[in-house]
Amino acid sequence: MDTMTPARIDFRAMGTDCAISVWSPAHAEDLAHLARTRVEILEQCWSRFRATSELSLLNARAGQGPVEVSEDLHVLVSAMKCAWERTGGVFDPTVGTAMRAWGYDVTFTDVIARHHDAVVAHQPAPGMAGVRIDGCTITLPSGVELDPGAIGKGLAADIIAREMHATGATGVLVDLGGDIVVRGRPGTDTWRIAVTDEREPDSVIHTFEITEEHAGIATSSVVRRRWAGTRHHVIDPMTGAIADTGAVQVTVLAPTGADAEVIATAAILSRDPHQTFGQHGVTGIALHAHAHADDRENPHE
Amino acid sequence: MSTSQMSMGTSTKETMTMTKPRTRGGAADKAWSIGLAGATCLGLVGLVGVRTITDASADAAPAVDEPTSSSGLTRADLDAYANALDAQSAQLDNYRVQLTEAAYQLQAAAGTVGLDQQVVVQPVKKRKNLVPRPQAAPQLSAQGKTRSS
Repeated sequence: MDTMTPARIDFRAMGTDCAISVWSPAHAEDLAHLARTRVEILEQCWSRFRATSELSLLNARAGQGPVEVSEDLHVLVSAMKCAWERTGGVFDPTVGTAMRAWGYDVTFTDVIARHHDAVVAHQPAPGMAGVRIDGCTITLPSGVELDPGAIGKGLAADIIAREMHATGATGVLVDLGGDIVVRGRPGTDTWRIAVTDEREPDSVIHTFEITEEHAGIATSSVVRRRWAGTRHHVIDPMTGAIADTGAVQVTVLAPTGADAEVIATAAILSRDPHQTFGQHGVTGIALHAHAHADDRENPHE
Repeated sequence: MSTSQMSMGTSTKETMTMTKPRTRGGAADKAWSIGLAGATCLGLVGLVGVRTITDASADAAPAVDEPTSSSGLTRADLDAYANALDAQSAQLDNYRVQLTEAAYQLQAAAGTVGLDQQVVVQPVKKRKNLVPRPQAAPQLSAQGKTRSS
């Protein structure tokens, strides 16, 4: 128990770069590889880009009555509905149809390789009100397509960090494309998570020092994942249009990865991200299109 | 189920015909004749019933390539999904077995599990479904860098 054996693996999953670090008195490398396996299991269940994923099956059966789902998919859809209710519909995973209409219907690598010039007749997202969760079945109304894009990675990181920690790891850091969850302790150290202004990738505008037993950090940004000039992946569910609130990047520190991701999305969609941070009791940083350096360095708590 | 009911009806009729040769006259023969006629009728009724059930099943289950939903899913699609879900479930079960084993090993290493408990745990199929490890482990630190996902 005196020596801590940490291990880290880096890999691609969920369409992004991932890294998992595990601190454990023994078998840290085994746990890290098990964690990666778990990422792949969740991706196969939740991906909207895989035709054989369980989520794709559920989406394909919208309007056709209850569908019995696995525990993992149940957890995802329950978290989606809960987040939709908590944010008053600002976070809305039913933007899937709008996202598809704007051209983001395949992995991002394929999106940017295509030509997009069609005019999009957008309309409000249908919302989660009609989504029924009864026991182990889920019913999607006709026209509803769930998109886990603004919650899936944070929630996956939560699940993996919790399972690794429960197994015996003393510290776990799960980074799924910048959505980060930490749990336990990295040896005798504290967690330090750097925040970058994505317009200046080498910059570090703030570093979160985390002393809590578990925390999630997520960034929502319109700087990355852009295509066809002005299109990006943040959709306003109220209109179905590409969001344009003036905020270009929001980073949130919350108790869980799912919360951080949801609140970051809600904040970047709002005219006043700091008000959103206050409503949810989280720490956050918002960057606007013409932010000055001084505005960037003090996170709202 | 339908097939088995049909063959039962048919074999009942044949067995009774074969095991009791017909003779003319007598009360016993009459009883046999009545019994045979009754059995034949029952067999026919059974056959008609089975056909009706079979036809109804055929109506409920379209051909493999016909769409069964407005989104164009066919029975073949649904079968493929069922197979994918079975594979997903098996992979998750395997992961959980390995996780449990890892927990026991860690507890054993920490001295919180007795020898008898360690013996109960089935050995893990070593890394059968795990991905290959990288050749060289990168530098490790208690730091991360958030970026939009």
